[in-house]
Amino acid sequence: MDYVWELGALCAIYVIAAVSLNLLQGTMGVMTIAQAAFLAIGGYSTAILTTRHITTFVPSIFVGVGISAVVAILLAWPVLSLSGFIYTIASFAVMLTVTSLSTSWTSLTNGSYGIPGIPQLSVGGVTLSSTASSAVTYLVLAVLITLGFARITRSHWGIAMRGMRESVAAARSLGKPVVGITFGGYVLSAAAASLAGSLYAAFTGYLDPTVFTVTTAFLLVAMVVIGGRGNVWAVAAGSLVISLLPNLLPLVTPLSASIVGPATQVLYGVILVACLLLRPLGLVPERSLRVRPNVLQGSLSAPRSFSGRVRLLGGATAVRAPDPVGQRDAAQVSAAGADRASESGAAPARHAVAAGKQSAAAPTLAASSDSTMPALKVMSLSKQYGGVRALSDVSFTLETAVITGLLGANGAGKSTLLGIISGFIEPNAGSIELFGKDITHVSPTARARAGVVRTFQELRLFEGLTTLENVVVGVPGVGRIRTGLGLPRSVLRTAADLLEQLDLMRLANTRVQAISYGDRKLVAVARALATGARLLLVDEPFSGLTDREIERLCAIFRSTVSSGATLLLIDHNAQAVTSFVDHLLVMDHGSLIAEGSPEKVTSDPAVIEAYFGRQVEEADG
Amino acid sequence: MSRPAALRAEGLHARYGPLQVLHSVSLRVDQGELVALVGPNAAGKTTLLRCIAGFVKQSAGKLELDGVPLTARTARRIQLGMGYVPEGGRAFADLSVAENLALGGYLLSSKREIEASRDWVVSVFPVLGGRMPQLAGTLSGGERQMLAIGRCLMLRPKVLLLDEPSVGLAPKAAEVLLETIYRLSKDEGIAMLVVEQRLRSIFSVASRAYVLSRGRVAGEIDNPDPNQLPPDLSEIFLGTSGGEPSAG
Amino acid sequence: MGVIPNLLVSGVGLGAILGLLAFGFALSYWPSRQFHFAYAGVVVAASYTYWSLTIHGISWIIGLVVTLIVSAVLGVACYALVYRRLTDSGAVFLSGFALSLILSNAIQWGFGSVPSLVQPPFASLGNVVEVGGLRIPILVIVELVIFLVVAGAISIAIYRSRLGVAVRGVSSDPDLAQAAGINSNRLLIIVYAVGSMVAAIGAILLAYQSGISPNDGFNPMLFAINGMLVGGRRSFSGGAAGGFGLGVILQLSLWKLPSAWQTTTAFVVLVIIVLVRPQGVFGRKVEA
Repeated sequence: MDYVWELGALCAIYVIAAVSLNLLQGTMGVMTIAQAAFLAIGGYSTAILTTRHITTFVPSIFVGVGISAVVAILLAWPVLSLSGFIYTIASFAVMLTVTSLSTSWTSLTNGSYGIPGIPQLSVGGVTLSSTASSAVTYLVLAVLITLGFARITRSHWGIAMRGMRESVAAARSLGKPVVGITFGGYVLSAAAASLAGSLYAAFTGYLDPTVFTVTTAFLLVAMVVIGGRGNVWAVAAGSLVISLLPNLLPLVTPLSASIVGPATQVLYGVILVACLLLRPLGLVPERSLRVRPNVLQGSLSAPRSFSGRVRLLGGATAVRAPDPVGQRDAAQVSAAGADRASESGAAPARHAVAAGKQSAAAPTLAASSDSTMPALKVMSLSKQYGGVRALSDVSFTLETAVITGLLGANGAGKSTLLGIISGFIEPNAGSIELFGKDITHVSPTARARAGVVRTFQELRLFEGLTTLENVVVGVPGVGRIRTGLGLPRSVLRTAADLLEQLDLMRLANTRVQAISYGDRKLVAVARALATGARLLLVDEPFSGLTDREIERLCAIFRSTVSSGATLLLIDHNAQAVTSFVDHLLVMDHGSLIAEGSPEKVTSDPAVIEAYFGRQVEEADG
Repeated sequence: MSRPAALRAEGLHARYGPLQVLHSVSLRVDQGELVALVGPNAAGKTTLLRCIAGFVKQSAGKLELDGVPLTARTARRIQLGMGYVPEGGRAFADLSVAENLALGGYLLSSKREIEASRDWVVSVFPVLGGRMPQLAGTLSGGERQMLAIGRCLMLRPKVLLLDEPSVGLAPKAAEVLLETIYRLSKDEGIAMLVVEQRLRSIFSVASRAYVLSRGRVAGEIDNPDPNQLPPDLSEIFLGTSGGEPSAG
Repeated sequence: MGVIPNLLVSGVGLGAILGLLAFGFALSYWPSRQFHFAYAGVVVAASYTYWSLTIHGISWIIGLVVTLIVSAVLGVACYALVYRRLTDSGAVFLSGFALSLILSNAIQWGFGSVPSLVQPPFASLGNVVEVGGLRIPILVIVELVIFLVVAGAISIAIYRSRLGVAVRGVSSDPDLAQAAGINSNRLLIIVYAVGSMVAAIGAILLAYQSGISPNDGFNPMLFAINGMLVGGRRSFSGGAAGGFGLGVILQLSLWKLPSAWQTTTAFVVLVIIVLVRPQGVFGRKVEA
């Protein structure tokens, strides 16, 4: 019977470790083979501290967690800047380093002799002396931790993580604090794994370098992959089964003890390969947020207790979606956000903010913006790539609440301009002012929070997420710790409102990878609108849409602008743009060649010249 | 006309998923002819070339290469004499110019044939001759474009589809390039279908031009005059006729 | 004479083995961009195949040939049956690990886990050669010669032959290669086969050097990958050189560091290179 309890305790430890990795690998999409390193840190911290009588069990857990947290931050740092594959190799190297350190650092870890005599878990004088009591405690802990991680995955934070997993650039463009989310998730995952390691050390009473190795790390990865990436309960169940396997085999088959080990590994290997070939996302799919449409509809009509009916579009002042923190605090929130963003701006992230540049003072968010000030002022922007001038001295102004179109052929510089205004590309010269505040060197994330949000030509939707979830990620506050641990109803309301307006409600619970191209474009716009941005940069909105979809889109653009937002539509499809916008800009070969009303611009000879090519030159060879 | 057209399409339709991108496109290019394919952006010009080259499935219609029908299932069209130079002048950046050309001629059976083809390509683009050992990744934009065309020429195609060959080039270089391919088409009898944005430049070398708009052939211009653009072109390109596009 | 020259000599020996393993890995990695993690299993399978044949009196030449064939078959099987069907590179990585696990544990199942020694066929020639006071093991000379010959010959083929240009074309731009009519699938089968055979040679030399054991595959493979990544992006001979250099460095590091820190050193070097200069020492940073 003791044997069963022993099994139970070990399984509980595996469950905790697997669930911790699930957050990192399944939910956040970080493919890492270093999770067992945190187990080792936790295990050795407990082993060393308790056998040398430096501290008791509980403080040793905290030490382990602390060290793991530091390591986690070091490992989280390159996640956003390294390609996923190189990161995996690097994590592999880290894992091996930790294992070999535990062998070589003999003064600390006793090397390959290991550390015997680790005392049992004791909390405040009460010691778990029997296997049964340990097992029960561990199992309860496992359940609690699993519940905790499940809650995190379902919360707004979890949705933001999953969005980031699908597209970091899109998350940045929506103003999500990608660095903070990455660090936070990594530390949490490491802490839980460290705890699992400490529990293991206390339970078995002995630790040596062969316990937490690369094979362990791979096993954990396998548990996440087989169980079902992202699905906490499936991973927990899967890890339970997998950790029971080596112990069940001898009962079922007449294999001798010496070959049970290798036979089990062969079995693991075969199962893993089969799983990867047949069900690459795991046995059980990730759970999406599913809200019944009538609940969503209901949320639209229910009156709110503190600020009246929430309408994102329409209502002159509330152009910015109210986040749960409240409008009054919006300025503080954005200032803090911009500060954090300026730290993240110095991180080796993909946007081009040069190291050492100070971020601009955070643009404050007055609820009523000054309507006489232009929304955007671009001055003498230039950008050069090697010998190619992508932008030459571009200057223009966007007035508030006006729809402006930007036309130009391929290679005219539209994408470069869009990248610079949204913060994804650093200009060589020139400056940008948003409602009078200089934002030239502000990171794209901070810029998005200040009110400049862009869409992408390739859409960059969060593919594995539903339509509703995609739009939810856009809502301000989603992904920020301040928003608490759940999913506020106000967030759902904001998202539902937009779905309603774009006639996407019927697709709310459908994964976006399964919906039509036209609807996907609308989802991309809805996601951007959810941010409540004051300046919306829309990249190629009309290509590939049917006329009816174009009408729907134009209607919502008009609606957005009538409530105070400013719109810049960038497209190379002149026909659609000229008939819709109030104001038109035309670019050619990196320069702005015309500006004015659509009628004036399209009859400008310079524009016609640009479209049809210059006169054949008289010059000779 | 006893010779079949080098390239002929009749009633070609193509779709991307549920979206119809080409509607009943018909065109022909004869041996030794250089025909321009122009139109506003998003009209479907690249899609049309890709469909002819076999990278986009035709959902309906007929396609013939030198009289030989090409069905949706005909793969390896380069072996039948169809050359396709996509936009952007992509090259094997790690390999030298000579090696790039060698790969262009990968399907040729003997080393002698490869060398002969290579010599011919160098005669068409002498600039490449001086850059044989140079890594393709270090070439200028114009040189890379020539290399891309040269790679296609290694297999001595009968039909050459070119997607915006002059994009990114300075006006003078663009003129030279278009002149070169014009002479190539005349001297070697290659049928060429060239998508271009620089109307005046392409009109000065093309014998005919098809205007594509919203996936349909909106017009055909015989002997296009670079100095006198047809008036309705402005409307097609810039949509200055005003009003919302009619429901399609 | 001092410790360093001796370390250098043993470094050359280790470098030759790692260089071969790195080269073999690079042969399949750059063209396919897939991490052939089952390589470790192939290495173990190769060494055990050779050993189990020669220990029963079969001549080393036949042993070598059979081992080469077995390794090639295993490598190609991994690609054709598993890797080729997976779309996600993470899945390929994991499946490779699983395959290694299966191979090495199946061997452990069959042969037990006790390490064994393998006698090289030239053992009768004696152990060392004296050159100017320095004792050079014959094994090291053999290792160096084989490394230079094998890596050299295949490199020449890659840089001169038509097939070699095609391999480099696929490494550079797989889509463009496909459009040019190159049959990537056939090409990949060839590189996986050749790469596995090179690995087999390295495995046999390693077996002469330090014996065999079923769990022996991971560390050499990781050092080899380490060397390859350090050596250079999309550079096959760079990979070989990187592996060789790493072997020398590892042995030289013993001058100051205790042997237990060797693994750590190697991986610290990798982490640094990967983070600081991802295109490797010899690689070119060319526009993709």
